[in-house]
Amino acid sequence: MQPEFGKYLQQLRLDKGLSIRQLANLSKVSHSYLSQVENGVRGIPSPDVLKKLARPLGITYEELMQAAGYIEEIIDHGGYAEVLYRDGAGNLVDSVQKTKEMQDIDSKWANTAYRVAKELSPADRQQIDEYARLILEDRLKKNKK
Amino acid sequence: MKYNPRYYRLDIIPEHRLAIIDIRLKGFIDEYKIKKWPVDAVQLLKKIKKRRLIDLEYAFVPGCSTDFDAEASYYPVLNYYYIAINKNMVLRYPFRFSSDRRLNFTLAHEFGHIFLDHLIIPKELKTSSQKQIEEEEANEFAGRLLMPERLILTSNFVSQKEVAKSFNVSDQALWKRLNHLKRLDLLKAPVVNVCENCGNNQISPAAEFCPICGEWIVNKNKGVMVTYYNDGYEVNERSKVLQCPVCENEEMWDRGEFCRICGKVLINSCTYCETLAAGNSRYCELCGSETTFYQAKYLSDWQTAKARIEGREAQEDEWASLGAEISWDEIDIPPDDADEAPF
Repeated sequence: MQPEFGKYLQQLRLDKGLSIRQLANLSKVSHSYLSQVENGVRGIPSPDVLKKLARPLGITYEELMQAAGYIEEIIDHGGYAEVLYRDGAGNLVDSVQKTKEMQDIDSKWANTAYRVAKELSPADRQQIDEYARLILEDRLKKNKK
Repeated sequence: MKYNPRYYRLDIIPEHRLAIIDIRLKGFIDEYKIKKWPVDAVQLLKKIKKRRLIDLEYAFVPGCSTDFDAEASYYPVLNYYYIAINKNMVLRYPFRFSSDRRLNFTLAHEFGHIFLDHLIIPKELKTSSQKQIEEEEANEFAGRLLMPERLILTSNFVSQKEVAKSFNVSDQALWKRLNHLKRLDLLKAPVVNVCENCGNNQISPAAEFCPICGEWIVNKNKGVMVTYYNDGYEVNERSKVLQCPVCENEEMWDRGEFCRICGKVLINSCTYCETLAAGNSRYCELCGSETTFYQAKYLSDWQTAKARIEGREAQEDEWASLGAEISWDEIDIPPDDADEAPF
């Protein structure tokens, strides 16, 4: 099982055209550890490590967790679902929340935290968003440069 | 009464979510290398931004009502998090009063929302009771982050105010944390003598100086966070070791002061007034001079010992160098002109 997962990771990396060092830089996981995992010297990485690897490898965290052999359990919360992951010994290792239908969340400008006692007033909301917009514009300009 | 059920909210959080809080918090503390308490959430905020594991921005937003302290949002399209801090609610930084320290808990609470993934699902898809649970989860995350159980339970409860100050939280936040731990009794626990400088609590009633750090402790013995210096040598009633600390020789003449094999000192006493000292004493409790064991370097200095006891090495703080790179101009803190706010 373990050597296969290493090979699987290696294949994902090669498909993305990344070297081990490039992946290490992108994911902030050490390159020596990555090469040990790929060669099956180390066991299945912890959820923390898989979480860091998912984005640079162009795959979702959930898919990686599945491939790594963590066991899924789904809890229905009505509007959304929560997936719990357990290791072979049955210990809870992580949870991921998902919308049930593929909601068009991208059309929303932001998902915000909330105060149970007081919802934010529209004026405050607007002020907060205005600042977020300014920072974003600034950042996009910097990215272009 | 160990807790007040009226303000006890922990029972609304499902069992598996409490486990997730622990898992995520442990990951958070490891990732951001939090090794010293109290935690300053403003510095931590800068650290999180700098580390770039998640894409995070923050701003001190002026012109808002006083209905909120800070607010975290997530922008799915760009996959970035944003914490808006209400400039009107930041009273003083660095914090001075209990009311200033509210911000510390609020920021930690917002980190909770972010690192517990509360912002991934739009709130429209959640019921009000689910939202309420998430608020409590974020509070619990913040409470455990700023006031770890291990440190709270070993603290010297001089007063609610002093303990809250030591953990960099408001008096109310401390009270709520104790209520969730069901340990409100600690607020009335007997106060012991703890050195305010090094946290040592092994101080004899007649002591004028702390035997660990050598500070003059008369009127300075009401420290809060306790460190148990367990690195002493086993000594008998005449402060003599049972085994030579250097060569491990156990054969010694009953009245001998030096090891017959290696010639090193065997009795811990003051190098000035010759008062006998405990096996971990670095300084004389009566005159503050160094002890024989400290001069012979059997005992390390207290800072090194403290770092080792708390499981961290003094020099390996890689964030210390990073902290120097962050310019204070980056962060827009309101001037220190707010009125002195009573708790």
